[in-house]
Amino acid sequence: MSAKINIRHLNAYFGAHHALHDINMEVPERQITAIIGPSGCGKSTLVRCLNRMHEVVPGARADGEVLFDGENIYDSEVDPVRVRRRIGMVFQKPTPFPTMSIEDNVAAGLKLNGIAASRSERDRVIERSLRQAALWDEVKNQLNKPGIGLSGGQQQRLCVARALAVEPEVLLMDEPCSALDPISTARIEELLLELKANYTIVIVTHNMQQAARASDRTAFMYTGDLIEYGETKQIFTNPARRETEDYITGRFG
Amino acid sequence: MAIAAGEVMLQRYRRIKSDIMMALTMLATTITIVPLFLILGYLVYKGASSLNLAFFIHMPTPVGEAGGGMANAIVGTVELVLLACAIGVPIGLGAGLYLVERRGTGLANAIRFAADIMMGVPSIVVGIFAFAIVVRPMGGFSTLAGAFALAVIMAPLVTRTAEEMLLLVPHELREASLALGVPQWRTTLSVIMRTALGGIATGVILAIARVSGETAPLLFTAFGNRFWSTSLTSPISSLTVQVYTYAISPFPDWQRQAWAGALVLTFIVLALEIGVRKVTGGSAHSPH
Repeated sequence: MSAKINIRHLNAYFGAHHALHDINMEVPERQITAIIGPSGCGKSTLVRCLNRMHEVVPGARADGEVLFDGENIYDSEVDPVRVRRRIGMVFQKPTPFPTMSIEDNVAAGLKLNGIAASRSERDRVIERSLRQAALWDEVKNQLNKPGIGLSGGQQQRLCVARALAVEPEVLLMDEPCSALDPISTARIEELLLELKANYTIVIVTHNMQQAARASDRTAFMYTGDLIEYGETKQIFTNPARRETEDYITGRFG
Repeated sequence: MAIAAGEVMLQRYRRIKSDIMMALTMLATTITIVPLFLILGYLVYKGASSLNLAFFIHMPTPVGEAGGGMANAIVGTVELVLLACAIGVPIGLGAGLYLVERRGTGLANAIRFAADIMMGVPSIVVGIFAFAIVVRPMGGFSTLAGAFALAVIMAPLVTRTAEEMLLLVPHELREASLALGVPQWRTTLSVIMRTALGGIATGVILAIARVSGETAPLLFTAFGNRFWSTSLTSPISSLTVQVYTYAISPFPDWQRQAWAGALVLTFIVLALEIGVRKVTGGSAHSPH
């Protein structure tokens, strides 16, 4: 198992608030890593540190190392924009660009990044991304319709397609199903398992069944600390730490 | 039974009170709207008879000579307003963008405060300001000075509308764009600005409507011109100033033309406002 992302002594802050305490963890390549924990424990902050989205919030900063294929993305010479092109992200709420059609949404990453693509290349990227996001069959006849006209679950898959279109190596998902109904959630989970063949996925979730079903490894966080991290099966059947057991059995959180 | 009767009384009392209040608000609404229709009606009554093709394509005639039109004033107004847009809109947009991007900083608060004050400054004061810093140094009245004065009125209006419209764009869209590896400047332009464009355009059109009706700031900046001129450095005619000059003149023929000019001006502004409502689906957002 090779580590795609290696987090070393990562600390994150919002102003004076110390949100993540000395996180150390390795994210294996082409596997699904789930991060669970109660609200406010720092799981979203942790994934946002992995593509330097944390610092977008005014007053937020991070220190420590996040090695991406061995290169520290927090090195002063690294451009956060380049990091984000290689590590894509899908958010809690579906966020299709409201002024764009379905196909323009998918191609947004190419267009806004000034990546020149011929008409046929662009069409190919759109179809490939929508197929990967398991949305192609539902929208192939209405590609020029607005993206916000789709249902919530479709919008979220559109956002997955949009993230995949720039061909990232890692996909970070911050509670991608929390705004979706169970059927859409099941679709996204199936999708995760398909994407695993080509992408390294980190998913933050409130839903412990989802973590247990879909992930290979699970991290449990509490109040800004990484309490336990290991094989998903082990975390859910035989947790090493008392806090983990209390959380997954529903005793708190 | 006594209690039930009391409740019926109470209900009736409430109903009457409600009806009285409703009647009062309707009366207030009527009083507000009636003058608008009176003005419009009177304008049409007085102005329509002097309105003909010649009014739009002919130049003013000398006193005593019948006929003529306000072609130079119509073109002058369009030129002044376009130039004012070219100066005022980019500044307003830039300032509005700054207020959103640097929200909460001392400078942003100072700019917002200044814009609010500027919106309340009487337009004649803006005219004096333009006279002092453009007309005097340039040594004479000019289109530039007039457009500058109008731009000073437009900029804070556009600033505040742009800010409000940009703030309505969900924060998540910005993050979604940044997470695609799109640089900050491109995100702001192509996602945030693009999403707010409809609202911003509404604000710009309302600002245009506002300044096309201004007379005071043009009196000693653009001044007015009886002759054809589109030069940026010469005095230029405008509908408002022409209407003002003609209206206070002792010649009945000029007074009739003033009515026609006022009518044309009113319909230009009305058309702009209706256009905005059409574009935004009847929910035009007022910057005031």
